[in-house]
Amino acid sequence: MIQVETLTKSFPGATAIEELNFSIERGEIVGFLGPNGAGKTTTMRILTAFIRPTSGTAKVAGYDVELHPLEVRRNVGYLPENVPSYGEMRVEEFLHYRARLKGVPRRQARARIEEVIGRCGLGDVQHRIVDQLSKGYRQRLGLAEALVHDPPILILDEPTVGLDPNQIRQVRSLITELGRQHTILLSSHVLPEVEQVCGRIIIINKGRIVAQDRPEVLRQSLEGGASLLVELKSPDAAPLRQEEAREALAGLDGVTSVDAEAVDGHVRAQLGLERGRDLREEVFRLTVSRGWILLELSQRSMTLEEIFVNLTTREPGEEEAARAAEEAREGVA
Amino acid sequence: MSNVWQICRRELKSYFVSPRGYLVLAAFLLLQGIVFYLIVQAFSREGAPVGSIMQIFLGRNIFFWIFVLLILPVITMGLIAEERRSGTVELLLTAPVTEAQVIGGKYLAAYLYYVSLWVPTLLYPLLLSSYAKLDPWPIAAGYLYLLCIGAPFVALGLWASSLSRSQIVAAMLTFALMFLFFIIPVFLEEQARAEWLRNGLVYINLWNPAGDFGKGIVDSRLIVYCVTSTLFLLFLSARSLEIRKAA
Repeated sequence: MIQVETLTKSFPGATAIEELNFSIERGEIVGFLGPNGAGKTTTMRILTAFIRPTSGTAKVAGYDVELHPLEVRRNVGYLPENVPSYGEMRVEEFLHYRARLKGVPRRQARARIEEVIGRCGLGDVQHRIVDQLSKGYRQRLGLAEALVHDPPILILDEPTVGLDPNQIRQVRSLITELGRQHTILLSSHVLPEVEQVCGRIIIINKGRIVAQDRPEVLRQSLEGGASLLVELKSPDAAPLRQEEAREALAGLDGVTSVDAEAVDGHVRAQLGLERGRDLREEVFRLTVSRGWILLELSQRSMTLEEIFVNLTTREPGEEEAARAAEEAREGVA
Repeated sequence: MSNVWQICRRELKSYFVSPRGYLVLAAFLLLQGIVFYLIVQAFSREGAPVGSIMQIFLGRNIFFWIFVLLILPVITMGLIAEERRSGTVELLLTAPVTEAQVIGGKYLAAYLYYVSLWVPTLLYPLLLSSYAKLDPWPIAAGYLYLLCIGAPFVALGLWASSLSRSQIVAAMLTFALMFLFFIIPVFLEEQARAEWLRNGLVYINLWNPAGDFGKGIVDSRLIVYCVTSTLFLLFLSARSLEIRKAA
């Protein structure tokens, strides 16, 4: 339903997304995961033909977004990030306007509006003015709006942001239910959320895809990579230099990342390890050979949260980021 | 066409459900009422031609222009700037509508609102006709005149609104441009040395035709000028929406 090839969008002075490639089949629920500013919204805006890509192609429901923007939009229901709506209109009136604008015939509009109002639980507020709605109801109104012309594809930009846990659960179950009839691409920067709803996750960072696969596979392939917490001290009174420790640790074979900080003259470092590696012995030998004192050495496996943070917090271009990304790709292949 | 109508209808509603729409209407009518009263008073001496009251009222007094130049930016400033500020432009332009349809709908709504400002003033000639016999055609031509000049001004305001996300900026820009377009031909015509320049300025002068129209002479040059400049400005507005897509 959605095919994206080498899609690139640059704004003056910045590149929002760079050579994205992915495709989404009919009936899939795909999560688009990344920190703020990763390019999620930009990608979604291109897919709804709201902005034009700088290069590359995107096809939605078989139509090229640049050549047939109206056909693309007819097939897509879009929930923009901060759920804009006309504040002075009433809920029902707003949905009616949107339905007609999206080409729902007058005769069917009433039935469609009743259906989406029922589905999104807007029955209590259908005569209220949009400006007076709570955040939760606004979000549901946005969903109802996206659904009103019964499009085969839904593109939802952060559908649960700003909601309380209860509302999040409701929206989540609504999305799961919608997934039976619609192809859905939703974005989020909250990992557990997409993990529960989506059949597949695309992790994007700084405009590039760093990993994509089913959540279980992502977890399996990446979770193995453990991390090692090391605390070091120099043998004499002089404080241990952070750079020195960092360099030495990074030089170990099998270390993918070093996160070091100086605490009271000690150095605490968190090491990211390659999958299936146990470097406790090597670290011990290293400290002995340098004459440092080892205060702490503990190993733990990464949570999914950390995997995400790991994949998305490093500067692209850094060697280790490239390595991590490569690993992730290898892992999921 | 349905899309144009849907957009127009929503826009018209937003004029008439907000206090702004009524405030503008009320202020406009109050000021026009005062001007009408002053004109009537000036003409109430013995033997003065009653018909020329409407002629002066419709375009041949400076207040007419002050009101038009001040109120038009208020009508048009929000058309697109507000959609951009509140983000609803993302809804509008992810619905299956073309930029031209959006511009068409918005323009129609603003223009109809402009026309609706003048509708209550139709009472004035009715009032006058109870005191004297009026020739209806010059008055009809007078109203045709203000329908004509409103068209490019509303389009200008729409274009200015498409350039900014701030309503204030859009309003200031509209006012400045309208003022330029109005003031340059009226005041520079006399000073223009070159024949061609003077003729050009005469052609785009919006003030002078008011005299002819008031007398019942419908000048097709003004109609052509207004229609073509409106179309051109609408084209610019649609382009400005499209360019945003690539940015």
